[in-house]
Amino acid sequence: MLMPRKVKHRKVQRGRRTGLAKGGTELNFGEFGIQALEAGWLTARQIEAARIAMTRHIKRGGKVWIRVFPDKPVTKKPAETRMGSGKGNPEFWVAVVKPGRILFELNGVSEELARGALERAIQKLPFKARVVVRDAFSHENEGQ
Amino acid sequence: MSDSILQALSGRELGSRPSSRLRRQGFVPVTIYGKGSEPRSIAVPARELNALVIHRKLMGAILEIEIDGKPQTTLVKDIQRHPVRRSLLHMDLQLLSANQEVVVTVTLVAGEGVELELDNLEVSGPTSEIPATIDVGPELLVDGMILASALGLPAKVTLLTPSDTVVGKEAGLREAE
Repeated sequence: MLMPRKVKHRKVQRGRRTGLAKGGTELNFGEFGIQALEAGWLTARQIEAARIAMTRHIKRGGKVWIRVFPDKPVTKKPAETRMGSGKGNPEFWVAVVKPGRILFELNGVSEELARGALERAIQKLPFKARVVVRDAFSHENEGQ
Repeated sequence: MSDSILQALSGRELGSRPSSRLRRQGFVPVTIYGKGSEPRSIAVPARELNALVIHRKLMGAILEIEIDGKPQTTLVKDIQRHPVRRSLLHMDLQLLSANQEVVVTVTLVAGEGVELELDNLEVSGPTSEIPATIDVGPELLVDGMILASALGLPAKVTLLTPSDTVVGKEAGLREAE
């Protein structure tokens, strides 16, 4: 699973997820991709599950790019623990996702196969997302 | 040169809230600048602009725009889109003079029986000589392929895309392969 090799701070605050994605909103590598339509935390497990669902569907050939990285640690207190005595231990890693963010990209397969694979990957995500296709005119890499 | 002229409104209010109001009224805020003139803030009807975007690549293309009854030739330098809705939020245009040498992308238009491999070509030349689109007709087919060098460009316009690039193929050839 994806996680940082080394971090400056083991525990971080939860933060807010307001607004839209500031960058990473265009397809930059593949012909097809998944774009988030809602904000949320995407865990390393969910990223891996989506990747596996995609690669199993396309079987062989094609290339997958993961455009998000889970760099935020999430802590949890053990079960049946009284409140207090400090912040819990880091349990898993998440990527903060805002609407518009491209999560995965796919190339080297037919559109039908790509859509099938990406729809399966979307099922593994905790928020609404859609399949996007690079289009010469309406989805050009403009403004980048 | 571009085939359609966009009618622009000049003297729009600056700032995010007036710009949002403008977008709700069906306009796209545009900044226009160029050598020898102060940058100006104008607005272009979103509907007309979207109609152009459907048919051609706008980034790096030449746009004819009429501001206060005065036609101007401009080059699209930057486009901002809404990350989710993909609608146009803002555009930067550079003013061009008629004889100014520019490097632009020109959209290719497929003729009957031709399947495009490229959507646009990069060309350079004087502003007034650059065509809005280039037709890729079936008469250019040689051995089922059309090379960039075979396209008819005006005399003063130079092709920057490598001349041996395949821009189109005979439709249905791919299925046969």
